Amino acid sequence: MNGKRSRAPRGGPSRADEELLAAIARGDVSALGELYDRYAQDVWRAAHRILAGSGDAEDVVHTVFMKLPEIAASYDGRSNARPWLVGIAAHVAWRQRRGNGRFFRMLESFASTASSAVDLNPEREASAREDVLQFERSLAALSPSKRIVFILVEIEGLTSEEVGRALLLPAATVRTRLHHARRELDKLMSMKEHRGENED
Amino acid sequence: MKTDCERSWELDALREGRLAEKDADAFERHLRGCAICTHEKAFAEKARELAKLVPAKHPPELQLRRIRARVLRAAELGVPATRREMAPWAIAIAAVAAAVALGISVRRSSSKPATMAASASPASIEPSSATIAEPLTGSVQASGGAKWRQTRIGNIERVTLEDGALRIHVRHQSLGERFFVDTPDGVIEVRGTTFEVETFEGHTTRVAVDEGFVSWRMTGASEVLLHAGDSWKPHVPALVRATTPPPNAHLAPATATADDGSETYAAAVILLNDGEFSRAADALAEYLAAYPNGRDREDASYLRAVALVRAGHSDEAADAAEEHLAAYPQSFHRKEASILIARVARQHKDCDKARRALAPWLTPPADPEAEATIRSCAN
Repeated sequence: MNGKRSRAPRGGPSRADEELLAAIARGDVSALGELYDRYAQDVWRAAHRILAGSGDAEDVVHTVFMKLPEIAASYDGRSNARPWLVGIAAHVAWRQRRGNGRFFRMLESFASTASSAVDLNPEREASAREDVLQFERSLAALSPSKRIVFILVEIEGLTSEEVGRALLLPAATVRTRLHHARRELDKLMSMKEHRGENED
Repeated sequence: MKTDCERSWELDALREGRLAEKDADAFERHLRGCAICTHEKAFAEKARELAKLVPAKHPPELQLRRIRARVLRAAELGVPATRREMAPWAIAIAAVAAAVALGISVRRSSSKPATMAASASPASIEPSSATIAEPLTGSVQASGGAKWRQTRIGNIERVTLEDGALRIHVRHQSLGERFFVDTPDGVIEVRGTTFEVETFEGHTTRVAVDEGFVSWRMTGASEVLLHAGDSWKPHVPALVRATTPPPNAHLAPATATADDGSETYAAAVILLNDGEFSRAADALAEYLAAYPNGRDREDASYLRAVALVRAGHSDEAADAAEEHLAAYPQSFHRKEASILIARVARQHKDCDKARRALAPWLTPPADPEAEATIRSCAN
């Protein structure tokens, strides 16, 4: 999920991410297309998770890649551009959500759709399915600031420094939120387990 | 029964290799005997595994193709063209993202974007005595009759050009330093360069770079990077606008500005990230004073309290946190701000105040962090 992508375009050798971004900064449109093909899905998925399916992931992908020619020159040259792009997407999505006030509606919708979003293989154990469902519901119940940090670090694979840059927060604050996010998840999942046992 | 361990914070540090070898050994020894840390470690691993099992939704293929076509078409034209008008937040956020990336990353690119106009010969600027006052991090030569001024807030220097032409040399900016040139219809960010800027009747008519590079953002347009040898001039329709005032010009609002303070805020956060806590607190205070409608005020107001407490000014930090809660009672940071207030009250042995600050989080089911704060106060 978080590994480096090396999808080579058909009919030609794959250029490294940093080469593509340098070319984009020079105005190379084909490089922009190549980078888009490589990471648009990842950016969309990250935006979709952060926005919890509120339908604006399209806007986030559009904004991120539209701005790339202008900000590509500031890329720090690491070999994998995915965390950088996901970080920018997170920033855009976070601000978008806060700006238009759909945040709490989004949380509610996430909580209500969490069960239907699961698409496990039929042979997977029922207990694993229940664990994932419970995990998703608990994740949806976290405070927004903790949830986004958990998603970016544990699901999208960003480091706390990268999340800090994306959300304009000190890295230490990101780590603190991650720590508390886990504790709350633990507590929420334990409560639900106990409730389930009592119901049984 | 003990439910909290002060050392559980070290779990992530151990996993990420942020502990020194000696500290890592000591924590691993602690881990073997601490049921709480062992449980937290096991849950973190379980959460990580469950997170991987959360199914990823597949983006609609057609939607991605549509976006791709729009993005590439806009790039080919050299001007961002949107299917729908990009919302102001999107423009501001992208500018902030770029500013953050520029501020933190290694500046390694010397490439020129394709959207540049051909290099033009520099304008004639008469050397004048208008060398700028300290503490400007460069020098300015102004054309005769040029109207301009210079201000500095913390590490942020601004030259505002109302009319005329300036030739500006700015030394390379250190981390956290920012240098902007405001024109009537845009803003230039400078990162150590020599360049010229001209305005005429409320419009920017030329930006030309001799050395280094600048980032030029015209109001309502996207950012353009200009490198050594590049120059920018408005497109023909803009030139017409520049020289022919609209009939209802007298009804138009005074000079519009694209500066919503995002860059100033981003610079303050960079200071905070760099451990420059006092300077960050000052910069955030300056942002709050200068941008009463800034989009980042809520975060800035809270982060100022964080910066102050890390700078060792805990009483001021508590005051700042109280101001934050008064201004933003529904803040995303309200719990963290309340905990900060409670911790400072705890330092002063004022457990009643600490309890009052945390009251919303102590009603069952109580928040573990709030509980821990109060518990240590009672002890």
